[in-house]
Amino acid sequence: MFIGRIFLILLIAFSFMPDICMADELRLDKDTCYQKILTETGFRLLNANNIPNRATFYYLSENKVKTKINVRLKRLYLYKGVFPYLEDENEYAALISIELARLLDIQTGFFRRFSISYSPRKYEIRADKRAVDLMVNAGYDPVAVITLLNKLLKEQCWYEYNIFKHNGSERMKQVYFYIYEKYPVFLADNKYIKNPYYQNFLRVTKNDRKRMRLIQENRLNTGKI
Amino acid sequence: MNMSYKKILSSILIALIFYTSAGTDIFAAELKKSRKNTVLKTGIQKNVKRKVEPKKEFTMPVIEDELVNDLNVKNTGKIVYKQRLLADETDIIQYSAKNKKHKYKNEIVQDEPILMSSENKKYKRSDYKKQVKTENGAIVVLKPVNKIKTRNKYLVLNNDNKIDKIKMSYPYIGDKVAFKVVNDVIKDGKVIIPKETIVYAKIGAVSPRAMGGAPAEMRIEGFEMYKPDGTRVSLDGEIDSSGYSLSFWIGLAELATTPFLIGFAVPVLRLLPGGQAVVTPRKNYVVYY
Repeated sequence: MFIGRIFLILLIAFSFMPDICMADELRLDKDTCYQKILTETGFRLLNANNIPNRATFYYLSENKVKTKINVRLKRLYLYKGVFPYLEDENEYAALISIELARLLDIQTGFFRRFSISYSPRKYEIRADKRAVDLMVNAGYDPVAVITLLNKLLKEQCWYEYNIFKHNGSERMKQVYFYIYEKYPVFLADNKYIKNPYYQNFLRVTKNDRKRMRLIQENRLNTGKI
Repeated sequence: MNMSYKKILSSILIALIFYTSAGTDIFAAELKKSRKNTVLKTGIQKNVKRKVEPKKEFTMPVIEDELVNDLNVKNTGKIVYKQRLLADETDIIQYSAKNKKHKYKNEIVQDEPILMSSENKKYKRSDYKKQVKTENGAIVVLKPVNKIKTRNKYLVLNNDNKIDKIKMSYPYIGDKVAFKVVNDVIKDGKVIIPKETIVYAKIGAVSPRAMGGAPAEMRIEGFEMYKPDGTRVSLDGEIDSSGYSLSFWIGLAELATTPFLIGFAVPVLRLLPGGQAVVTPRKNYVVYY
């Protein structure tokens, strides 16, 4: 009976504390540099945008390709598996700013949380656009959001319609349209034009970009800009 | 009678025992005699040489090479080896030297031409220099000149003789809107900004309303005003407005009606969108100088 009780307690402890009990090894010589980059870019984004709330950024040494936010503690977690996809500081800032925008959205108010849970697709696009603003104010290149999303996001078929998430192509298009309308300088003098991931995006979205150009032409001709 | 039987049996047993013990010795003696091989003794021959056949020496058979005649043989007798190419190899080498079709060409696709308004051409990228911004300056209370409300608008485009109707969220990003200063802004005893001065702003972002009771959201930023001498002064702040949200009430209605039959129809309420975002002249908005 006594041994059975101990076994039960250990089972419960292991099920609720996987990060502590089953975590991957933390290599201080390798992992400290990632944590340092994370905190530096995160706090630069917070300071440049004058965000009045605090937020902290953590690097988790588990081999998963995902990110996480804790709304109650205002924490942002990046897992180790994501880092091989990040090539330069702009892409680091892109990933952090997308998650930061989601966190700031949820903190806006009590009723906002219900709106986000009932229409998550709308707020996903909104967070991407807000991430572009956060990056531009902090001095980063927002085109890195497109290259990052092209590497990370999945593309589902029409019959696998997900009510919670957009396809990667849809998110990239919306980001491109937003940058075209608001910060076209970054596209006119594009440092990522020769980047293979951006080149892939250009090949996939020919008609959509042409449509955007026609919309902008229409607005210029009618004098609305 | 019993005594007689006993005597007979005992005498038989004794006789058997005697006979068997004696018989083994007799048999052993006969065996010894046979082992002496007195019968074969006469057949064995001594000092006889065996005939051993000599071993055959192995010599490698020499195979004559028919192609040796084709090679160049010098007078010294040394053979100069010349590599002979096979017919397939010669074709491949000639082909690959001429045609390099399988080389990867990194073709760069150009983006569509970027059309910019005159204001966007003047835009300067922010140079983040880790400057510490001062805290709130003088408060400027503003009121919009006209009501600003989000809505959906349909744009008609002529795309290669095809008419496309595209749904866009209005107001468009970059559109200018006007605000009016409500009270005099006083700093250090001086009036910096008088009442009724016009302050211009831009539409920063518009997020249209969606199903599930999600409201529309609008952000107005980039406040700036012109002083009497013509200098442009930027004001610090932005206005975030959102419409009313129905999500909470839809969730409540779903919870409350689950025990009843009508609970099956209530999730249809999720098709309803939220309210539009409005910036009205009835409200006052605050930015900082």
